[in-house]
Amino acid sequence: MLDTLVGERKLDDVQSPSWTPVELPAGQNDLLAAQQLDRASSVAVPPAMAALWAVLATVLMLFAGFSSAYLVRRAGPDWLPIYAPPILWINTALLLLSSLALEIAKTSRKFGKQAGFRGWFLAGLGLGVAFLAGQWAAWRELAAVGIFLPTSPHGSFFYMLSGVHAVHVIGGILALAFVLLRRWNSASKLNAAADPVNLCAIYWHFVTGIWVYLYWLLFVWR
Amino acid sequence: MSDAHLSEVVHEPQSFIRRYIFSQDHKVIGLQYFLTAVFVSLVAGGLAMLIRMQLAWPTATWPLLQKVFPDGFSGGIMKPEFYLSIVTMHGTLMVFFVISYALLGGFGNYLIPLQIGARDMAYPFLNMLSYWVALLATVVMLGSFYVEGGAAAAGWTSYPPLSAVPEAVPGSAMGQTLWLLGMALFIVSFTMGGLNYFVTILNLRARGMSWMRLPLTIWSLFLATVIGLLAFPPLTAAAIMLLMDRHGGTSFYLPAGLFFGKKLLAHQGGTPLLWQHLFWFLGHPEVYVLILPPLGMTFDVLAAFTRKPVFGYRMTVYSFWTIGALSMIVWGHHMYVSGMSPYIGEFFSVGTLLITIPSAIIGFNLLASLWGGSLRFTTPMLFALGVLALFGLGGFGGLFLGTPTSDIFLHDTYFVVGHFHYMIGGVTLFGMFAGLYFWYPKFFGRMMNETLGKIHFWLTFVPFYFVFLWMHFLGLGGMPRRYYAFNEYQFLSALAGQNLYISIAAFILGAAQLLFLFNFLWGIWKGRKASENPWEATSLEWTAPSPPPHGNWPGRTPTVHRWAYEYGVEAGDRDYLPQSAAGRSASA
Repeated sequence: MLDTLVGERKLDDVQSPSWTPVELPAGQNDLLAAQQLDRASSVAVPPAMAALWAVLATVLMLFAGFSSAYLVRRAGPDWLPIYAPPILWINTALLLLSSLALEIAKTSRKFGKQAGFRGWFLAGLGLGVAFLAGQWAAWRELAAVGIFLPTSPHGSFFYMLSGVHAVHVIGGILALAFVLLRRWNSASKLNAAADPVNLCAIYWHFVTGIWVYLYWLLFVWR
Repeated sequence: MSDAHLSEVVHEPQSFIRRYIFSQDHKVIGLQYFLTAVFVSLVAGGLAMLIRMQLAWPTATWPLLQKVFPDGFSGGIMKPEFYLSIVTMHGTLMVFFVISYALLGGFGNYLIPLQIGARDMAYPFLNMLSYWVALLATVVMLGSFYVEGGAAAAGWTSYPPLSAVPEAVPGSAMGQTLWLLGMALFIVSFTMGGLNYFVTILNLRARGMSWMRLPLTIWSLFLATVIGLLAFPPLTAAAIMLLMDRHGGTSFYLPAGLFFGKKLLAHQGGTPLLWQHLFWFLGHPEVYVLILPPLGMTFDVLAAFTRKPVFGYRMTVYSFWTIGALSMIVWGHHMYVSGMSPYIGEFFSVGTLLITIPSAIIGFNLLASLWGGSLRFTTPMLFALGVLALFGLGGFGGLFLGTPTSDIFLHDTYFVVGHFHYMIGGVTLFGMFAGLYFWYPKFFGRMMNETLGKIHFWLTFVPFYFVFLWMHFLGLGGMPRRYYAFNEYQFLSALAGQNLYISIAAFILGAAQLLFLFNFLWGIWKGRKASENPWEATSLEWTAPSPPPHGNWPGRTPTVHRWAYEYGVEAGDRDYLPQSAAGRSASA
């Protein structure tokens, strides 16, 4: 049953993998290279994509845990929601634009426009940094009106959730910077599921989605 | 790639540091995890001996111990707060820093690539990082003994308010903060390792190694990894919130109206129940993360020493899956007496009792694997049989604890302590020993001493049964857990003295482990050299040299032609066929 789920073919055939092998840049771990050429079982999901989905599942569970805590606390009798600093709207827009920028970057690359790719990729990264700056500004604004971490339960959750989210954004920024520095420009030889740019973009969209969800949870649904 | 040899593509590290310290080889990392687990087990086992000493002789004075732990004793008698610290750290260290490190970090790292026919894990650098973060976590945890106030004292379950109010007990000061940091680092390490195992098993299986040809060790490690990856994050969330309550002034877990002495605490609006839910959301799947690998390993060991295939391989795999899924929705059975609605209690109870079905299937399959076999009573086989005995009997305790009506009486009594020690202390420990004795020749290229091993088994098995079976009866008699002494309770006057006999058995149990340590070390230097496959087993790791070189197989990685349990077949002068043996029919 499972054999069909992971798309394996007949076992006794000499087979080539069903996905294009990744061309690893020079200097990669030789053992990993040896493994990827050595094994011949055809799998539907290349390693990097499987790892990414596992990471996303883990992060999702983290925010699920926080969400359940929020729901429990919100049911308390002393719940008084704080206002949403208006800059959060701008931050949300910045993050959505950064996701868009990454997608435009990928399209540019597909059409061979290297300069366009790097430009839009950098824009996405920059917008992510701008998002973080905006989040910091939101924290400062709340502190200025006297809402600190322990002041109100709603405020506590805002600070905590936006902080944990920001940590994951920082992780995403580091990943994007790493991709940029390694100059993984040429997409043509790489299968989408193993392409580092694509994988980073998926992580980034996930982080954007989490923020949209958190904003909704904290300030729309309250 | 067909004729490329190992040396052409694999660059073996040359320096001592890169080979044995900062190594990316899964085997070295696995042994590093083992080493750490053994060291911590000495600490945690020592703590257990202290617990038993206190319970055996609650009124005795210990001037020597007072010299070693000046803050823990007063007038030679152990302080209650110190007892709580010992109980807390014994549990925490054993669960996370011994069993998880040994089973998942040690056996997982060492065996996964070998048993699936891969040269190493998918991400060797991440693997190395996971060990060093794990070591850092261990240092932080052990370091918490030395800060002011001593180690955390809120139980391994770390319930607020005790864990959330720094002035509550001495251990709730810096010790509790370090506990939380140590746990956070542990979870980071586990996540990194878990990702590696998940991707490796998914993608790096050798040619011909389909899912249903995997040894049950791999299945159990795979599912334990999946459960762990999904279950740990809510504990991360909970720990972050607890840190904020402690140091940020928030009130996630602390309600209004809490007094410490005469001082009213400023918190309001939180609830300790939130912590309980989040903790046990991890806590329950965590025990299945710990128990699945030894069960999987026991199957492999049994097959080799009964010379027949495991019984019900497919059903066991499905049972592992079912246990994994169900384990995520039964956490409330740790909280029946917390005031939850009885209807919610019923929901958790139904789920808990449903888990007995796949557990019983696994237990039955273990037992049926023995039927009609040609039994070889080697030391690993004895420990594997011990796993059966402990799993069977200990599992029954779960029925009583899983039913709210009986749990109302049994919760927080020694019945619980007896039950979980059978499962986490018994099944996992005996599974670990079975695995260590079984795979020792592969790890070190030498054999351990059989006689010493058998003595170790009996001196472990008999006292273990004695200690923890008796605790069930103490619990039925109403003896509560986490109490530092029982001599002053009239309703326990008949039972309190029995702690002495339990302690004596526990001391024998503890001392017997020194035998194992000696045998372990002796074998490395003086043991008989082991062949590639001394147990005549079928899985792929036995086709690699003992110990395997960097890259595991000198030539090509094996191609798999059959499942992992081709025992009892006619194959020339052998009664088994390795997984890599070619040919469609049984005879070679």
